[in-house]
Amino acid sequence: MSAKLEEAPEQRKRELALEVLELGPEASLFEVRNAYNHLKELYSSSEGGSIALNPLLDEISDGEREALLAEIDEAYAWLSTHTDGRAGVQSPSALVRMNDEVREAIAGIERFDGAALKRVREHLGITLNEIELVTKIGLQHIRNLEEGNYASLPEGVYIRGYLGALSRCLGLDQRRVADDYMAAIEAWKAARQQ
Amino acid sequence: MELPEARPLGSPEIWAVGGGKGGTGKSFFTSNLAFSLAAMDKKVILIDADLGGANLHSFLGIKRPRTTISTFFEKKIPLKDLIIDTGDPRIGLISGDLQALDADDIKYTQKLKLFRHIRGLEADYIIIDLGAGTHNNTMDTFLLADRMLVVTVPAVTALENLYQFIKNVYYRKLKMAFGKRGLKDRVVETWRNREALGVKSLRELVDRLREESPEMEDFFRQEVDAFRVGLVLNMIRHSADVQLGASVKSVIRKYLGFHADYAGYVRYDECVLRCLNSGTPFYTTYPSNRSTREIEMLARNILSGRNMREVM
Repeated sequence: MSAKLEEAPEQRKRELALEVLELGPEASLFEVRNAYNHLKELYSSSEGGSIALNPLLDEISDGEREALLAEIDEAYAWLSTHTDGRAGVQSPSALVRMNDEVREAIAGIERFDGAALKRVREHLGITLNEIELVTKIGLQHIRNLEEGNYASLPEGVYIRGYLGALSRCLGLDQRRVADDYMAAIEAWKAARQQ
Repeated sequence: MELPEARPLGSPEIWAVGGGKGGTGKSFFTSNLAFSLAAMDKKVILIDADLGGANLHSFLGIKRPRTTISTFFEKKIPLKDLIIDTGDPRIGLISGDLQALDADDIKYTQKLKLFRHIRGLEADYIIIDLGAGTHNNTMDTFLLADRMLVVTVPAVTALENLYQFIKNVYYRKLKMAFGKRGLKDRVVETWRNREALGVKSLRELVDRLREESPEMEDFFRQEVDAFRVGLVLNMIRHSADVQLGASVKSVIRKYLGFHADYAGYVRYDECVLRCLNSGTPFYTTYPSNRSTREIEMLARNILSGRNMREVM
């Protein structure tokens, strides 16, 4: 199945890749990455994974699932190098590539504090301006989040909102990031009171 | 079965709500969808075709009506005379009955007559609540709709039933189209011999039938490729559930082989049950709840064919 993309004529490649990732023709790089992460996670599980897939697992062999995952990888690899790093202002050279190396680096993160978020962002080659453009969160807030300037951050409920938006941009697990980060803030607050 | 004809101008658009499992909120969704559309100044007629559980009227806050859809078959009264006043001039109800569309003695010709009458009703939208059934009549009704909607909840059992329902519907569609050309056996035989033929899924069945039946290519292109189901995810409780809709949509595309639109989701809201039990319509009692707004969003998405993004 993964031969399909290779063999297709150039003009058809985009269409095929978009179809695999289930995206529309105007998909931005962020959408491409999010679709990739979602589908990769969905089809990677064999037992005990998404309940969306479980009911059909007995119809699908492991081999087929592997083939589908390979197709998804291929589609992403192609799209991520053939889609503008669409952020409007920044140049198209801000291309983002999620490869195994980057994914491993992200998987290796033990705690998502500001520094970890910054590392992920830099690994993915995304600028602060692009984050601002997409999430509409002010640059200073994002900087404060990354630098761990807890004293300058707004109320808890806003921080969660920002973290959520930031996680989505970076293709990270929202819940995990929020939990880790809020724990770090709590620890800081507790330390201050002593 | 006749292939659906082009809808004549001015005739209502028919939406069917199914899904194959009880308790997922089809009646809740149908009634509130009607209120949403009415709020956009559309005229809506609801038809309760839920076998063994006709309770659309309860969600609309009206008492169990006396005339039902059975009266159409038994007394041969025109369908439009069976529309009940719901208290809202923009919404009419044709109530259901335990017998309704299940009875084997409803002949095929009677079914066609019913559908003709449905098309002749004066409304912008007709929404048919099919309930949990998977009987042939239910599936036929579902297939005849202009838009097919399924309601499910984030539970593995509901999804099991959902996939089974859609597969059955799709398979029935195949059988009937092939049957029209005298080829019904081809579908049944291919499926029966699937192990020997290496056909492991519905999608592979379709691919194989398509390869082997070039004379049916028109059907495949117009009917099968255009087969779309609208997915409604009801009673969600976590933001992670939102993405489940996108996952189900993907699984349907990749393993069942056709398009699903993730029309939207509705969060679990305890006001719903409270309203149901006290006989007041949820939509008008709690117009500003988040779940109410989510239904409005759903209505807009279904009207425009838009899909929900996977992040909230």
